[in-house]
Amino acid sequence: MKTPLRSGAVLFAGLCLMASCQKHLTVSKSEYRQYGIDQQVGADSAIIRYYQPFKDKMQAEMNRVVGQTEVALTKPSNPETLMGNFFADAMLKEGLKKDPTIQFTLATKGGLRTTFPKGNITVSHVFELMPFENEMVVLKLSGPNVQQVIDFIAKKDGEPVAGIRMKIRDNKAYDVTIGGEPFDINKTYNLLTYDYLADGGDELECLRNPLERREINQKVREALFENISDLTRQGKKITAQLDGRIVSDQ
Amino acid sequence: MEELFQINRRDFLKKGGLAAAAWGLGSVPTFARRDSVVRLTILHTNDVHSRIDPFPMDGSRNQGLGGVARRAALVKQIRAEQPNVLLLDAGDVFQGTPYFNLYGGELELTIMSQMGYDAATMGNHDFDNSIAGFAKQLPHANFPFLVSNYDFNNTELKGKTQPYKIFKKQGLKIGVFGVCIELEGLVNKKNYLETVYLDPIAKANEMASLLKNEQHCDFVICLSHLGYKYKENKVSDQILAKSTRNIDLIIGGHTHSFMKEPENILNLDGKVTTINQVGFAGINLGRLDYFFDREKGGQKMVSVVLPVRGMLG
Repeated sequence: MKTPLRSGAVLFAGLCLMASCQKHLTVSKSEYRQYGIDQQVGADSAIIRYYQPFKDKMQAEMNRVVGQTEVALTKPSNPETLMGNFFADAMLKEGLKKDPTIQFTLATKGGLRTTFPKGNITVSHVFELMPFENEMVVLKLSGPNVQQVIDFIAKKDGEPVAGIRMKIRDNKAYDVTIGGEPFDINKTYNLLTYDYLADGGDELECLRNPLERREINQKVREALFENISDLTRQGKKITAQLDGRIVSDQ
Repeated sequence: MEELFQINRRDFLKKGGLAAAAWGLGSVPTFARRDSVVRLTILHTNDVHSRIDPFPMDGSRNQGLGGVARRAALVKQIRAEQPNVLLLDAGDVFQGTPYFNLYGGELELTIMSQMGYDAATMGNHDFDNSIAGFAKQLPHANFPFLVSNYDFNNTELKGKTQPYKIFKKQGLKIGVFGVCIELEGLVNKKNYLETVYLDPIAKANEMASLLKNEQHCDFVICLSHLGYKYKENKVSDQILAKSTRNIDLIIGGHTHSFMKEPENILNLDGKVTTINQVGFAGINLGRLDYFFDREKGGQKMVSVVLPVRGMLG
């Protein structure tokens, strides 16, 4: 590092002399280093004293149990997973409270960041599942645009979905139903997803130009909390089934 | 905790000793004037993402790394050794741990203030709780957010950021300004509202020229959240560096790039613009030391031999 920077400085100094730009001070030498912040660096106790009360409160909140699972919600394989189905069903259920025109939902496997163990589920588990501030949005899509979404799901050999069912052979979807009706390319459909995907994230470029986009002003994480709280209030457990919504020959 | 308090006591003694020395210097002003070389020490972070505690010891790649209390101790130590320190951040202060989700950024900005940050710029995640969420936390920052290429006039942030700031250190004038990334497609519109994104290259040229030529700064630093480099044709720090004049150093962020060393790029004038970025989450603290020669004649300009205490790598 030193060598290129120093030669740069020499060049700069030389140019300055020629142009006699005397009013600026010039760099005659520079050095660089990077500190790794690890255990060997002592800690400033004043900083810890400041944030410890916030940390204690946060940990208490994070450890609060919000619900219970009947079985572990895992994401072991394609095309369907227990976690994916729970997640998409919860989104659909909560989304429908805000907008009854929603017909199906789409998330991505990569967006679900953890699994749930069997038993107590804490605030922390829900944050780990959805650490992002993603907001739910409803997209009105043309039939051909929905076909692109279907092709995407087939190409990925399944994604977390609800309200849509399909079979996949050789990465092509067939027997597709939405809201219990066969998919009709001449109709428009209302998809519930979240802003990150609607903005084209996770290779979902095809969602960027919907016929209409409506915010429903709820974060995905908030929807998950609401869904779990409802179940707990009703004395129910968090559950999901592999129900054949996506069947793949792979 | 006992150990921490001991470290703190040691720090206190060291600091006390230095304060006394500085005071002593103050009574002999000619000494400083005779010193022909001024050393500027720039410390920097980027994309700290609400990482207050070190990463947990859970077997993950970054376990045990980072932590604001350690960074604070290190900064304090460097400040005790060096007279002219600037501590800067290139944005994405917010988002990444439940500290942000629960407290909205209060801790991040309070702790940066306690550490003595001199300036920061805004990253896209600093909009995660919307313009209102950022504006609400801003009173916890005792340092300015420097943003030159967002027009906040029709938002709640109007007048709450500034395009640049000039720092004076031992007669040196250092101009610092900020450029930020395009928000459309990256941040939900309802979070940035009527913020208008302006061309970062045009703005950077305008700012750097203002600072160097009109304000006569000796050194111009750009805090950038554009990202280090991209495969696709998208404005980055590399493109910014070669498309501008008058910028000496770009402190970057956004791409979470762990650069092995700073990169030097020739700008439009054929002069060196240096780019650096130090990963994310406060895992590293970057440090650049520049030595400025007060002699104007030139013969002493490049042949300075400096005693460097605590040899730098």
